[in-house]
Formats: sequence, C-alpha cells, structure tokens
Amino acid sequence: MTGREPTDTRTHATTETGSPRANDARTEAVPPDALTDGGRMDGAGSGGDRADEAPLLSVEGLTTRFYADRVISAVDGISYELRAGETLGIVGESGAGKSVSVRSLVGLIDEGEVTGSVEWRGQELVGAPTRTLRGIRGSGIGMVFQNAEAAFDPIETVGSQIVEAVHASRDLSNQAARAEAIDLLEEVGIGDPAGRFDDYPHEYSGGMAQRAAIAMALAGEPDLLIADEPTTGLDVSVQAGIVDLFRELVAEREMSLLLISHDLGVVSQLCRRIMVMYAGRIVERGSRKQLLGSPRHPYTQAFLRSVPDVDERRDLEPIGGSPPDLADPPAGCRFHPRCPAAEAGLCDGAAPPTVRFADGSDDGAAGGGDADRHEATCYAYAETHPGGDDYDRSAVASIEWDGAVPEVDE
Amino acid sequence: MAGRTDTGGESGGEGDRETASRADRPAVRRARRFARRFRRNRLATVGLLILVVFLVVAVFPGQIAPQPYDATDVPDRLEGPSLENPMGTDRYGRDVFSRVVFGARVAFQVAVLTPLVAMVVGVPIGLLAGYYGGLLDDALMRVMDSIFAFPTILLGLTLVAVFGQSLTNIVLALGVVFIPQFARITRGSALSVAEENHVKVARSLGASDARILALHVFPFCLSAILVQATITAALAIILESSLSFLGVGVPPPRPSWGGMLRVGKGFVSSGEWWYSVFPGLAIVFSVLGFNLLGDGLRSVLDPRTDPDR
Amino acid sequence: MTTTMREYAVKRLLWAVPVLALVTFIVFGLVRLVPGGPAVVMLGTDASPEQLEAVRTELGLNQPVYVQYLDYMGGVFRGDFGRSYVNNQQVSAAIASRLPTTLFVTLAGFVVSLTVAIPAGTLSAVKRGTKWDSVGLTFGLLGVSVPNFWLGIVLLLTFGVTYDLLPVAGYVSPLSDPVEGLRYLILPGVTLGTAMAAIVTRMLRSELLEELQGDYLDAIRMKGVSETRTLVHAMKNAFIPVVTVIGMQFGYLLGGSIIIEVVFSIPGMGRLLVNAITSRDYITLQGIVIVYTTFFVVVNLVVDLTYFHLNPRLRGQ
Repeated sequence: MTGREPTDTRTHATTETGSPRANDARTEAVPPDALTDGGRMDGAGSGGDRADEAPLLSVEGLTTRFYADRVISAVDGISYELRAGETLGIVGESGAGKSVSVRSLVGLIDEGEVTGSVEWRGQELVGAPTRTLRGIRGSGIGMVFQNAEAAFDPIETVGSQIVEAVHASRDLSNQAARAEAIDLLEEVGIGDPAGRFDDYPHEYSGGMAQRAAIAMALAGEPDLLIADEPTTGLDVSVQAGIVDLFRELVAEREMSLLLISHDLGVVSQLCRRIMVMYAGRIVERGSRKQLLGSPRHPYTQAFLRSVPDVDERRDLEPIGGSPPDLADPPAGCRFHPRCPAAEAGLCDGAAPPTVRFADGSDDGAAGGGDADRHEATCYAYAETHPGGDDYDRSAVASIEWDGAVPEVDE
Repeated sequence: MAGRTDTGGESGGEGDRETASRADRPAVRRARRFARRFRRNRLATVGLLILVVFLVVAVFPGQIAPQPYDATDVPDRLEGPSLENPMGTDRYGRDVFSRVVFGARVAFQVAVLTPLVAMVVGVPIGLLAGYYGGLLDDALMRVMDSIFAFPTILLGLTLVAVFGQSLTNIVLALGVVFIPQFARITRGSALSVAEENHVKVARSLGASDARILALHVFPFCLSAILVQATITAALAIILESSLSFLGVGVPPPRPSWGGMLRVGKGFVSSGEWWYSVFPGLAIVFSVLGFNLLGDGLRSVLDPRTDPDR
Repeated sequence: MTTTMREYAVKRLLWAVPVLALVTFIVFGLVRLVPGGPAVVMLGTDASPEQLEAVRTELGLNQPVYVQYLDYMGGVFRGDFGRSYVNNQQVSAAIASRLPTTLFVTLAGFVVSLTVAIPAGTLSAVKRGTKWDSVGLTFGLLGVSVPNFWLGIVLLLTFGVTYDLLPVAGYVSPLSDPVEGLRYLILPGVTLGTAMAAIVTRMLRSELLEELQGDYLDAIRMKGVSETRTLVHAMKNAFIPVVTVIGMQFGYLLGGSIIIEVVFSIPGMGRLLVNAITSRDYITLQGIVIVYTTFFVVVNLVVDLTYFHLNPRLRGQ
C-alpha cells in the first residue's frame, strides 16, 4: 500500500521523524533543540523542565490492520511522542481509528496485526511478549474505557476489582491493598468509599462507575493514563465532574494523559496538545490554542464547524459525505472525497506531505521535538507542487479559517 | 469494523404507496436469501439430506426392504450379518435390515406428528402469555411449569401407562410432554415483539388483537419455533424408542427400533450383537439428521445467535 | 429495593408449592382415569360387579376425587404411600429401599457429565476454531443424538462382553463396598452422563465464547492481570447460565436413570416403576412418580436459588 508514510521531506517542514531517535531505537536520544513547553494548562507540573528528557511514549509508524474477508487498515502509520507530565488529546469522528490506535499501544488488539514501533521508556512494546506488556499495564500505563460499567466484571464487587488492580502491580498485603482501594475511591470523589467498596458495578450510577473505573486504572500508580472516550454517554453535568477529576488527578499525580474523544470540548479543556485523526491517519497536530485558533487542515476546520459553540450563534455544518471504507480507502489523502479544497490529480495520488506552520510554539520559541509543532498533512500548504511550480492556490484560499478564536482558559 | 454507511435498503424516504405494493417482494427476497444461506451451511444441508433419505425409507419401506418385516425363516435364526442379510437375522429368522427399514415409518410418524401436536397447543399458549402478560401469563406459565416439572421420560411413561399403548396415544402423550417448550419459546419471542413499534402502531390503528397476533407477532416467533420443532422431532424419536425399549411403546407387530433393541439386549451376553447395534444406529442416524438441520436452521435464520460468526 | 436471598427463596417456594400440588394431583387424577378404574385393573375384566364394588369401597374409590386426593396426600405426609394391591407391599418401604440406589446412579451420571463437560466446554471455547473445538463440537452433536439405552448396550457389549472388564448387570452399594460399588457404577454413570455432558459442553462453549467478547476483559488485562486470571473472570460469568441448564438436565438424569437401571439391571426405583407399569400396579406407580417429581422440583428450586446467589445483578430487582 503506497503512501503509508504521511511525512514528506519537502516544503518548509522538517520531517516528523527528524529526531535521531528513529535510528537508534534503544538509546535515550535527546531532541536537537531544547524546548520550553509553553506552560501546562493548569500551571502545575514540571513538564517544561523535563522537556529535554526522553519521551515517555514514542510511537513511530504505528499501523494496525484487521484481516477479515478484506484487509482493513484501521490505523495507518501514525507517529507521535508523549513526554512525562504532558496532556495529549486525540480527536476525530467515530471510526477514525483513535480507539484502535491506543489499544494497539498496549497489546489489546486480539485479531489484528500491529506493526511499527511503540516505545515505552525505551522498551519496545510492539511484538513484545505478554509478560513484558503485563509489567507495563497498570504500573506504567493505566487505561479508562468508554462504558464504565463495561470495565467491571459484573459478578464481583467494585472494591475487590480495585484490589485486584493493586495486587497486579504492587506488592501490598491484603489489608493494605484494601485500604489503598478505599483511598482511591475517595480520591476520585466517591462518597462513603468504605461502604461503596462492597457494592457491585450495577449498583453504581454512570458517573460514579466511571470514577471507580478511573480509580481502578490508577491503582497501579501509572505514569500515563489513557482515557478512551471517558465522558461519552454520560450526562453533561456528570461529564463536567469527570473532566474536573481528570484535571485534578493529572496535576496531583503528575501523570501524563492521553485522552481520546470525539468531543472537542472535553479535549480542549484537558489537553495541552491535540492531534486530529481521520481514517487512521493523523491529519493535523498542534497545541490547543493553535488547533482551535487557526486550524489548517480542511478536516479540522470542518470538524470545528460541525461542533456547537456556546458563545457564538452559528449554523452547524455537518461534514458532507460519509466516512471512508477502511478496507478500500481513498487513494492519496483519505479525506479528499469530502474535502472542499481537493484538487483532482493531486490529492488523489500519493499521500500528502506534512507541513509545519510558523505559528508553532506558543511563545514563539523555535520549534524542535514534538512538543509545539503545528503541522498539517495536506497538499494545500505544500510550497512546491509535485508537478512543478504552477500550483493553483485558489483552493487554498477557501480554507482560510474565519471562525472565532475560542476562549481557552489556561 | 470499517463502516461504510449503508444508505441503501428500505430507508425512509421511499414513498409509502410504494411500500404497500412491494408488500410481498421483501418476503420473496428474504426467502431467496434464506435458501442461499442454507445451502452454504454445510451442516444444515447434510441434515436435510439425511432427513430426505429417512423420509423416503419411511414412505416406501416395501420398495426398499428386501423382505417383509415378518417373514420368518427359523432355520436361519440369529445369523450374523452376511450378504443375504446385511444386518443379520433375529430370533425368528427375520431379516433385521428389512425390519429396520420398516421401523423407520413409526419413527418418522412420531418425529413429524409429535412437534405438530406440541405446537398446536404450545404456540397459542405462548403467544397469549407473551402478548398479554400479567395474570394470564402467570397462570399459563404455572401450568406449563407443572408439565415441565416432570422429567420427560417419566411423563411419557405415565401417560402411556394410563391411556394405553397405541401410536395415537404415544404421539399425543409425547406431544403433551413437549408443549411447555414451545410455549416458552413462543412466549419469549412474543414478549420481545410486543414492545416493538410496528405492533404499537397496528394497535393504535385499531387492529384486533387476533390480527396482530397472527400477522405481526407470530411471524416473528417463526424461526425460533422452527428450530424448536427440529429439536422436538429429535427428542421424540429418542423418547419413543426409549418407551419401546421399556416395553411401553408402539405395540407389535409393528416393528420399532426401540422394540428391537429391547429384544436385542437379551442376546447381548450371548454375543449376537447385530440385533442391538443396527437398530440403534438407525436411531442415531435419524436423530442426527434432525439435530443437524436444527443447528443449521438456527445459524441461518438468526446468525446473531451463532457464536461462531 | 434489594431482594435478599431469603425473600427470593420465599417467593420461589410459594411458586413451587402450587406446582407440586398440581403435579401430585395430576398424577393422582391420571391414575384414576384408567379405563374401568383401578378396581377393574386389579380384579380383571371378568370380575363380578359385587367383587368390584367391594374392592371399590375398600379402596375408597367411590368417594369424590378430591376427598380421595386429600386422604392420599395426608397419608403421604405421614410417610404412607399406600399399599400395592399387586404384591401387597407397603409402597413407602419399596421406595425407601431403592431410593439410595437410584440416587447413586443419578449422582454417577452427574459427576461423569460435569467432569467431561467443564474442561471440554472451556477448551472448545478458548481454542475456538481449532481441532479441539471440532472435537468438542462433534462430541456435542453426537452426544445428543445417541439414545442413552443404546449407548449403554454398546458399552456393555464392548466392556462387559467382548472385553470382560466391567460388570454387565447388578449393583453394589458404594456405601458397603466403595471399590466394587464404583465398578458397578462406571458404565451406568458414563451412559447416563454422556447426553448431559454433550448439552452442557455446548452451552458452556457458547456462553464462554460470548463472555470472551466482553468489554470488561480488556479492562482487567489493563490492570496487569495475567491472561489466565482474566479467563477465570470470563468463566465465572459464563458459568452462571450454565448452572440453570445443569439444573434442567437433572430432570433428564432422573428420567434417564429409569432406563439405565433397566439396561444394567440395577434394582432402583426406575426398575420398580417399569415393573409397576407392566403389572398395572397403579398405587406404586403413583407413589414413585410423585417421589421423582418432588425431587425434580426441589432440585430446580435449589438451582434457582444458586443462580440467584451467583448473579448479583438479580438482587436489585
């Protein structure tokens, strides 16, 4: 399958994989430019000071395919990094491959083939034996799923399952584990934790169950918490509570957070950096401010326009067309059939290049490393046309962003 | 799984008058689809084949069996399988193969009639119980449970013991035994349909309950009932042969497989095994046919319940 | 409002009692329906009307059915199942002497069945699509297609006659001689347990397959729990509906034991029942059927309670 690598060494961009880490897989490489993380959203944590450390999680060319009667490429060569204490969000519509990509990180893909590289603290996870993965699950990486009640075994008490999580990652006596579990329940905001310990999952309300699931994910004291659509399906009022909870936890535990959601509001409240996924590929990435203020990729723009805005009265514009068939995706840029600025002969050929934008890094510091790059994978921004210089840029004008810059509290 | 948004099919937007005139076309399409899926399911096809053979043997035993079932030939009694008697001879010198062939008729009659009897009573009970619910449901199900409370063989034994042995009585007795199964299955399906929108719509349009039950609820239960029918047929054969084995089945001179086994057991210690083995194989064969068909039907009619999808 | 176990037990008992009453009444009534009545049966069709009348008065057959029924049930509660007019024995004594035997036979079938079914079902589900699964599925299909008495005969032929390994007929109580008793129970147990093993295997396989798709399993894995322990979680969940099937199968075991006792010439209640039928001994028949059915209802009740206990989700009703 051609065009899997979305990066391209043309135009005013360095490649995504510019850091030497790509070549020496096992050494802890230092990115070429020291980078100040422009302040975490809630001001806590020392993410910025650790910017010159190696990333916690390093994903490179991650590809996941399912083999049914057809080959489905659910995730097609995505790469990114996550540093300690960072908050990263992945947004996109259903079927974009967001969930599959994070499940592929930790080896939860049962019936598919995962290729590429996923390094956790320098250790390769793709193809690693289950024992290695087990060691990382829980104590290194914790995960919260969408349907909270589905995270629990229905015939065991919630408390016992949290204790199970504690035992799996830490060495505590039964009593200590139980006490720890109760503490965790309290930490996530569940009243009467000792009493609730002996309740069954179906006796918890939706919001409480999600809190308990979060407690369970934290039981191993992970360095990274992955949350896959944690607020989807919850009441709006309950959602706010969960979002607040995540915010507190990230701050207090100095954890990294990888948040998946199709709800841009939730992601923008919790994540300092955001990546936009479409049809298994990352189409744009940048800081929250960049992405919400000046989205570049036509899909990102369309996505933003389709989301209601509390402050501004405007029409919702659904994205035209339907999501692509991942067993037979469009050639070239996978978004081109639905893109208002698509150019025949260009966008439907080879995969588009990734272009970096000059507004990268919030406080104007020169880019480098993954942290504050604002990039989009789209031909519209390529400076030189593959066929020559005569590139019709009138289409690009149509994707200038005219939406209001949202207020984002830092 | 990759989602290609399905904008085809009978989505809203078609004119209503079109739907009315196409009322029978979806059924034809469904039937064809069903036939196609059925053929692809190997187990179901094998089952059907077996049953066809069974049917042919049951309907035309005279043409297939080399000898009449009561043709005694005493000098040749208790001979093992040979070219002349592929399944050996019994204690009177009768050809076992012929007797097995003739025994198919009884088995087939039981297999077909028993589910019918059970359905005729059980399905309406289930429909009423599932559709109306409440007190009627409770009462009906209690009665069903009391029948269900009897182990099947026990009930069959008792009924036949009381009312006497004849084919009719046996079919009736076995039919009664299986009524609760049909009632339960039908009730289950009826319960889930009763809440469906198209039923509510029909009711609000003033359709009578009977009409609703017949046109909307019953068709929905059909696949479950069919599957249950094959299961019941299989069980009925086993049950009847068990009764015959105990001496309480279809009376002689009609040959029945269970009856043959009853006699055959007496010769086991002296080594004349063919009289016990072959009729039993016939039972296994015919039961297998029904079971395969039932399994196949289940996966074809409702692929969602098939754990192997 | 959570339902406690006690409340549920009471509810189920309230259900079971009318069912039992109905069942016993049905049996009672059935026997009375015999053409000509029990008196004719006892004395034969050429008995004189006076003789018939005498017997009828003696047995109380002229009283209304419900009076007879209450009389009889009163006796049952006192342990008196009446006296057989065929062999003039106390029915209760006959039943009592044979009940343990039947229980052992049934138990043997039960044990064999579960010993086979649980590993087979689990293996079949976990190794889905492989050779093991095919073996399990084939076994499942054949197990329900083979009549148990025929299987018994075939096993007899093989292990009893051709290779003289196991006893062909008779019974020794394991209580008096465990080893011999076990030898006598092997073939009956295997015969009886096969069909049930097949059904339970299938059920366990299908339930486990469904559980293995559960979302909660990934969450458990993400805690760092081993794959085996994760499987145990799934199995416990899958087992719950299987418990109900096992309960239902117990009825089959009870009924099947009747046939098995005949095949292997074991002197249990089943043999007594069959003899009672052929000798038209309706009083004994009545008593035995009531005992069997009561047993079955009780077992079902226990199964229901167990199911309720195992499944926490039911308690919040």
